[in-house]
Amino acid sequence: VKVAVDLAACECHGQCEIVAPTVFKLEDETNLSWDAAPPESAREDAEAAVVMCPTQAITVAD
Amino acid sequence: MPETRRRVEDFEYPSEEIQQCPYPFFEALRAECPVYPVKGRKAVQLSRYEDVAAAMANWRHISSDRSWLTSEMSPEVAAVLEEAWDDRDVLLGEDPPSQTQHRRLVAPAFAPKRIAQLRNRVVAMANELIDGFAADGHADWVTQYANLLPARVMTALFGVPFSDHERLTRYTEDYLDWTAKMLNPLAPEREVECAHSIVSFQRYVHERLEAMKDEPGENLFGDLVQAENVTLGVKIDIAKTMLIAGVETTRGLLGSSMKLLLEHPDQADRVRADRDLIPQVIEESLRIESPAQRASRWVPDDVEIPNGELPGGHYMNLLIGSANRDERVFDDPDRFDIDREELGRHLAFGKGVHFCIGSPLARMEGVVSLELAFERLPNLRLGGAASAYRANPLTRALDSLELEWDAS
Repeated sequence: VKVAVDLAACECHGQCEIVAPTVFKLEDETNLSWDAAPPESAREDAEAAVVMCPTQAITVAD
Repeated sequence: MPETRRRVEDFEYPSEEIQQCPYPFFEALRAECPVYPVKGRKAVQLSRYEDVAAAMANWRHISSDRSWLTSEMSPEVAAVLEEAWDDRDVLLGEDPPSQTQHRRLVAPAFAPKRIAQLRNRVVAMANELIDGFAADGHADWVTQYANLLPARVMTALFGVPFSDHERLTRYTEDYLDWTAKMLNPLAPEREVECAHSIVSFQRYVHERLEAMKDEPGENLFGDLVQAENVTLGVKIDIAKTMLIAGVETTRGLLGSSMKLLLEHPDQADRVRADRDLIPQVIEESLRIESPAQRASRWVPDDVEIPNGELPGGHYMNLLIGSANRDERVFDDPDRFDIDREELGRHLAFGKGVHFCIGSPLARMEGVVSLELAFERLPNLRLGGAASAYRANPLTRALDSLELEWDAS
């Protein structure tokens, strides 16, 4: 699974970290880190993060 | 000579003066007492941007759970509410993981595609309201427009008949009085009336959800109907939260953004010439007259915030309206300036797990309203009468706003 985050849109609200903790991590209030190529098992969580992100900053591709 | 700033102790709090314009008080709080203990209660008010933002981000230690909060009620009110589902304050009054689970139910309704689909209907509803007064050459923008549009838009978001907007408005009024009663006590009869309204709102949601079972449609109630493993009580509570959050705050934005822009004719002229500036007007209005003035939190155990520490067992009021005028973040914070560098940094929609899910809809209603007003009401300007803010310490919304224009 390929995960991309548009950092210009990301405001670090942290919804992604809650629904997909194996993929996303808020380092602090202004820095997000993420696994750009998580295993297939993380797909469902990553897709939930796409829906939950209030700024629509996340995309998930195959 | 330096200006003399008033000290915290010079203010009477709470008071009508602070209600009308809380900003000098907030400025004193930020300077002298960023963690301000509320007299007689185990509660503090945070006024600096840094602290408010940090508290919003720290949901693991600073809780939104309000299930511990109980209020006493009269036997009359208790009798009315016996028929009601528990008001559990889902979404706003809870923490992850249950907050996340509930937020997931409503997230699809606010996806960009859905909001874009709503835009044409919002434009039609806004135009219909303006049709009602365009020929008059004057109107009260608050009572004839700002107070009316958001409840109408909620009918589209929910997927209920447009004619339901009147009851949605009434329910909102009653719920607001009810939730603010700790700060603004109600007369006993009014309290009973509000309790009845809560029961009838719950029945209303129940009926609408039932009616949608066969054809749910792409709308918020349609999503709720199809949600599995969620009790009816939770669905009703979600509907309540969405209604109040969507109506009261948005009408504050619609009133304030118009007033602020027309009070600054140079910036209004630029907007007349270039409508693409309207989103900037909305952002600056959200900052300087934040519709949601505060958020509340609960601190179960000792916690540190940037400008202090707090022992467990305290409540926190996060003064959003103060954070958004913090001179440490916003240059000349009392100046309305649609070009300011820090334009998007305001906390009007919160931050973190509770970040306003309806923000795209609120922004769209704000932009559409100014676009149509400037397009349809030539030489739009402020009317003579002064406008005042409603007496509600939680939200900031005008009571009235007289406008004039050249009617053809």
